Order: sequence, then C-alpha cells, then structure tokens
Amino acid sequence: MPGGIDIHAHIAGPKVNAGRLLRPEDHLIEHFKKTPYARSGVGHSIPSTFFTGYSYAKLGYTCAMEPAMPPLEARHTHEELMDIPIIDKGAYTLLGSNWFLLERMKEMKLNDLTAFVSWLLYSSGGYTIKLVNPGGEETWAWGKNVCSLDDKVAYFNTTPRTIIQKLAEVNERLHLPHSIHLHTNNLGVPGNYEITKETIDCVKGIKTTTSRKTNVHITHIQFSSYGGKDWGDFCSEGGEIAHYVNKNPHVSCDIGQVVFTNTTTMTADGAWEWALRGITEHLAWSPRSGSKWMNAQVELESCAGIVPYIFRRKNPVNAMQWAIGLEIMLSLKDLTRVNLTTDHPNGGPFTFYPLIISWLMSKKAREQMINRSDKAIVEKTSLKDITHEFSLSDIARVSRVSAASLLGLTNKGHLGIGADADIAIYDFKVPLNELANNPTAIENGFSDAKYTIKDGQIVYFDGQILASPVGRTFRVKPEVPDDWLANIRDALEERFQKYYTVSLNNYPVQKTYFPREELIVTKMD
Amino acid sequence: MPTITLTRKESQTNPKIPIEAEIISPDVFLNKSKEQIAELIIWRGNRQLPLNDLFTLDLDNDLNCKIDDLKIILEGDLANIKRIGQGITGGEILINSSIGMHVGFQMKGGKITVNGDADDFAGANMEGGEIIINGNAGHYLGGSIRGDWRGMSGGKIRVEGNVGNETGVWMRNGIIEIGGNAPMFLGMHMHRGLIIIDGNVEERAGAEMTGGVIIIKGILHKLLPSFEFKKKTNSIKLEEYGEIKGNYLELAGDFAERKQGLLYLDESKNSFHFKD
Repeated sequence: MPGGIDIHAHIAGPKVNAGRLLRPEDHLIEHFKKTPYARSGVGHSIPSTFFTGYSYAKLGYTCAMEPAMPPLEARHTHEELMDIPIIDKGAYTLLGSNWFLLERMKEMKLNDLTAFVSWLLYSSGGYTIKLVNPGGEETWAWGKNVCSLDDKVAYFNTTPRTIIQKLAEVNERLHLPHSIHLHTNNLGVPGNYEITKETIDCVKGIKTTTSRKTNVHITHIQFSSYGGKDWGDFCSEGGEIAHYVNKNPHVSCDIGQVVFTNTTTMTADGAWEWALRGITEHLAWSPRSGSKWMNAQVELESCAGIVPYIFRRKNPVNAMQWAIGLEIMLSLKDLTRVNLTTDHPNGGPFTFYPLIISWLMSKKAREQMINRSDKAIVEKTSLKDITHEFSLSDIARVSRVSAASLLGLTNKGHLGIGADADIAIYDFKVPLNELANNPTAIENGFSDAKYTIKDGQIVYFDGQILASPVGRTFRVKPEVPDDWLANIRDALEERFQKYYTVSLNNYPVQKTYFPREELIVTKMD
Repeated sequence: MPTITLTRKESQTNPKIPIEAEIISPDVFLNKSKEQIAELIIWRGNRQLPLNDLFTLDLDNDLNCKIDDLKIILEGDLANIKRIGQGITGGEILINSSIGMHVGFQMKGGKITVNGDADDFAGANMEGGEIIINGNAGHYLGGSIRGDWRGMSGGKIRVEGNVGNETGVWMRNGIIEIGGNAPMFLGMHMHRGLIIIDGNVEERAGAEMTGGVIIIKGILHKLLPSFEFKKKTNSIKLEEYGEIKGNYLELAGDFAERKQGLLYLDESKNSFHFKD
C-alpha cells in the first residue's frame, strides 16, 4: 500500500505541548527506549515529538497534518513539526475568529478578506483555512458561545453562517489545494446533527475552482452527529448524517472515531472543553470535583482548551459515540470523501487506527465489542444491523487515497508513476480472504508494518526504526494581485502597532523553520 | 520458606547515581535459578548492569514455589535504590536499611517491610497488599505519581515514624496509619479511604478532600476555614477498620469542594480551634 495519510491529528503546537505539561501521568503509560537509530520518547495520548514520528512509521503512515495552528503560535508549531522525524507534515491555520477578518466580514470587502487570508496563510506557513466553532471562539472570550448559524458573534456584526460562506468563497478564489477544514458549531452537544446539516447546506452553491469536487471538509464528523435533546435521551443520528453526506457531493469528512481508552481531549473550541470539564464531575473515573483542565486565549485570534478524558465501554454515551463513528463510516457510499481518523488525541490516540480498521473489516470484531459494551448501542444506534465489511482496498481508500486527493497531494496516495516512494508493506500471517474472521490478525498486521519506506528509504523494518529522515513540510503560497495587499497594509500595520504583543515584522515565520519545504503556489484566475 | 538475600556491594564509583530496581520483585524472581537472577539487567544512571555487579546473592532454596511463599531480603546501603517492589502481586520483601523513592509503587499484593526510612512516593498508586515502614516516610506516601488524579486505591500502609507533605494525596481507597507527626496537606484531594495519625499535624489537613475519613489523635495546629464542625462523638465506627473509641470532634469538608469528607480531631487537644 502507499504510505498512510492522516488528515487530522493534533501532533504539534502550543496546545499539544500544554497537554504534555498537564498530563505527566500520560508519559508513564507508554514509552519508547532509545535504539542505535532512534531517540527515546514517552506518551500514550500525547506522545513526544520523536515518538510521534516513530509511531506513525510503525503503522505504515508517512504523512500527518496538524489541524489547529493559531497564527501567533505558528513558530512554535513549526518548531515541533521540525522535530517530528520521518513523516511529511503540514499545519492548518486557524482563521475562524480572527479579529481582522471578523471586522471585514461586516463591511463585506471580499478582496480585502482574500488578500488577508493569502498573506496570513503564507506568513504562518499554513496549508489550509481551518475553522473551529466559527465565531464561537471569539464569543467564548466573553464567556458565551454561539448556538446556531445565525447567532451574532459577540461585539462583531457577523454570524457563523457569514464566516463559513465567506471563507469558503475566499478558499475557492485562492484556488487552495484543500477545501475549508471545518469543526462545526455545537460540537459534542446532543442534537447537533441539525446544525451540521445546515452547515453543509450553507456552502452548497459555492463553485470549486480546482480539480477537487468538495468545497467543505467536515472534520471529526462523529462528534457532530448526535441526536436527542440532552444527555438523557442522547441518540445516534449517524445514519442521517451519512445519508446527507452521500447526497451532497460537495462535502468531505473525516470520522473522529472514538476508542475506549485513556486519552486527552484538546481543541481550539474552548467553550466545549469547559462544558466537557463540567460533564466529568459526574463520571466515575474522574475526581468528584471534575477533571483537571486548561483553557487559553490567543490574543485576537483563537482560544483552546484541554481536558483529560477516559472513554468507557460501560458508559452509554461513550458506547454510542463509538457506534456512531462506525455507523457513518460503514454507511458512506463514496469512500474517496471520507478519512479514517480519531481526531488524535480527542477520540483516542492515532496508534489505535489498526483496531478501528479491524472493526471496519470484520463484523465479528464489532459484535464482540457490542457484547462487551453498554446496551445503549443496541437500543439507540443501528450499528448491529450493519453487515457491511470493508475490503483491503476500501481501507486503502479511507486511510490513504481519499486524504491525498482531498488535500490535493498528487504525489501521495497511490503507487503510480510520479508518486513519492512512500510505501507500507503489511504481513497479516493469514490468507487475505480469511481476514474478516481474524480481527486480531488485522489489528496485529496493521499495527506493526513489515516494511515502511519513506522516499525510497527503508525507515521501519521488523519492529525496528532504521532511519529518521527529515520529512517535508507542505505549505501554500496563494498569490493575489499586489494592489489588494497594498490596500490592507495600512490597516495591518495599525492593528499590530495598537493591539498585538508582537510587531508585524516579527510575525511571519521565516524560512529556517522549513528544513524541507514543499511550497504549493496557487494563482487566482 | 524460600528466601533470597541480596546484599548491596560497596560502590566503586559515585554512590549517588540512582538505581532503578523494579526488577527486584517476587514476580520476576519466581522459578528462576541463581544464575538467571544474577544476570537480570538493572539500570544504574544511564547504564545497564547485571544484578550481580551491584548485589551479592544468597539463596536458601530454589525458588520454585508459590509466589506468596517467596521472600526477598535486602541488605546494605540502599538509599539510592528506587522502585523496589513496583507492581508486585505477592510474596514478601524485607528491607533492612533505608530505601529510596517509589518503594511499593503500583503494588497489587504481598508485603513490604522497611526497617529504616523510606523516601518519597512510598506506596504511590498502590492497589493492594501491605507496606510497613519502621522509620520515617517521605512526601506523597500512599499518594499518586505526578499528575495522576487516582492515587492509592487499596491495601494498607503503616508508618511508625513521621511522614512528609501530601500524605495520601488523591487517595481513592485503603488505609494509612501513621505513628508520628505530619506536616502539611495530609489527605489532600482525598476521595475515599482512611488515614489515622497518632501524632500532630501542622496545617491544611484534608485540603480539597471530597470524601474519606481522616482521624487526627494529636494536635492539628491550623484548621482550614473550609471545614464545618458537626458534632462531638465518643466513638467512630468504620466499616473496614472497626470502632475507634475516644472523644472526638467531627468536622465535614472541604467546603471548597464537595463537603463529603470527614475529619475527626481529638477533643482534648483540639478544642482551642473553637474558642472565640
């Protein structure tokens, strides 16, 4: 198979590092001893940088994208990305609550927006536009949240709907390789499937300008597919969401599958993390006063939160979350528009991908887990009725092909002429037609690649890291007419002088942070 | 009873380099010959050494027995040896010296006796079994390792001497008995379980406790303002421990958290807290 591609995994940046500081006990669960070719490392849900690279290589993955980089912290993010060996990487720039943008939304100056986004993407070394709870991040700075697409964003005369539509439009005008990468409003809240559907609808008419057919990527869609009014009548709307994605060819998604394990949730959606901390007060594994947590604001740009979380089989909500992810994945018809992720580390660490693959490929494995879990899965989700089993080529699609095509990485996700020599070779030790009856063989096979080859070099073989080459960093340079940039320069300079703690000249990330840069230059029509 | 005695050889180089000796455990030694045990690898600083470079071994019988019959005796200067008895499930370890950090860390069963002082984190994250320390203990006795909100969850610890700060931090179950005194934060973040102390406590006992019982038979020099006096009692009945007789003041707290914890103070020595 071609090397795996992870479209959405929090592997570097300020909040990942804050998570490492918040959870020293996580380091005890898993560790990696140094070898002649590899450095030591620790961490289960938030592994240290070197360990992250090695763990991906072990799974046969050769590319991963850090999905939430506040531009102000871009330098930190790229420093950590530099330290992650072997894999290729990139980072998505957070733009959902940027003051400069929010102000211009009001005045509807599309050229200014486009110029600013292009400047910010390039100066932060980002790959695409990432929206997290659009508008909600800024509203959370005032202690509130936005609950529908038409709620007003605090102190800005705009709404989440406008932000999503405008930025999707800007994305297409700039011909960016990936569509907007969207973490929906009301994520994690019961009954949020409606806002997810509305979000899908609101970008429907926007025409794509590249070879890609999608104009929005709904990320970790599992967390946005909940029914019910509160936690008591929480139920699955996974089938409905899958049907909606099938119906709308302009949408792509990744799953954000939940795994029953001890993990750390971290997102730029600070409001949701605060709500989650409140939920932990009622959970048996957590202290009675609620789990430890962390919240942070990035000036004028974004915010973030971290809460440790343990997904439990016997917790009805956790069990349903597990089922919803699989339900969506197994009901989607077009597998080139869906990726396998856990939203590492929110649904579980990426090291559990092999286990998820075994659930996708084997009904037997799913049934075993359903029998061990809370009966809510049987009562409130349709997972037990799904008999579909993925083939190996389906797995290749969801873990490699789709991510490469959605990200516009033409050299990845295939083994044809011109492709990068990123190859994973797996040994299942049972005949391939008997895999569905041998879920453990699937899991063992995928969790320890026989060979992982990166750019033609064997990096992992037989349980050993053999080499740690430096991976590429993908970033974009969207070109806009010079006079558009000139138009916003004064406003930018004033903003930095008056409000930012850094000066405009120190803001862009310099070349030295990209030891192996892969610059994708796009031109407007 | 099959017994193996390990005596620390005198250190040739810097004796302060710590040794991580989780390998010295009944679970590992069981059914092994003297030669096999002598070749077990142990970390000393950043170097790996075979066990017999650091210890002389002395076996009574062969070790083919049940784990609970196995006894390990440690002699010599052990002050920089860490993680003795980590995660053991049975057997007995007798330590005739002072011992380094993390003795009985994540212990699940069996018995550890320390005829000397124990350093910090003794019995941290312990799940079962018994630890007896006949000297003083360090900080975080029966507590949790850094960052973990789930500390000791079972078993029993008895300390004859004094203990350090944050004894029983994040305790979720089990019993800690202390013969001597304690400084600050006794039973901090305690969730369930029992701490009984014969000596005096400096201050902030039971800070942020959300459950469990702390009994102080000596003086608590400073009481946290977030504890509320409930009643006077002359006997404390405890399910897993039996009855404790004597005149005690019952306080509930910590009001900064959920007020389900109970703090008992000896009446004659602590009534000064309630004088205007």
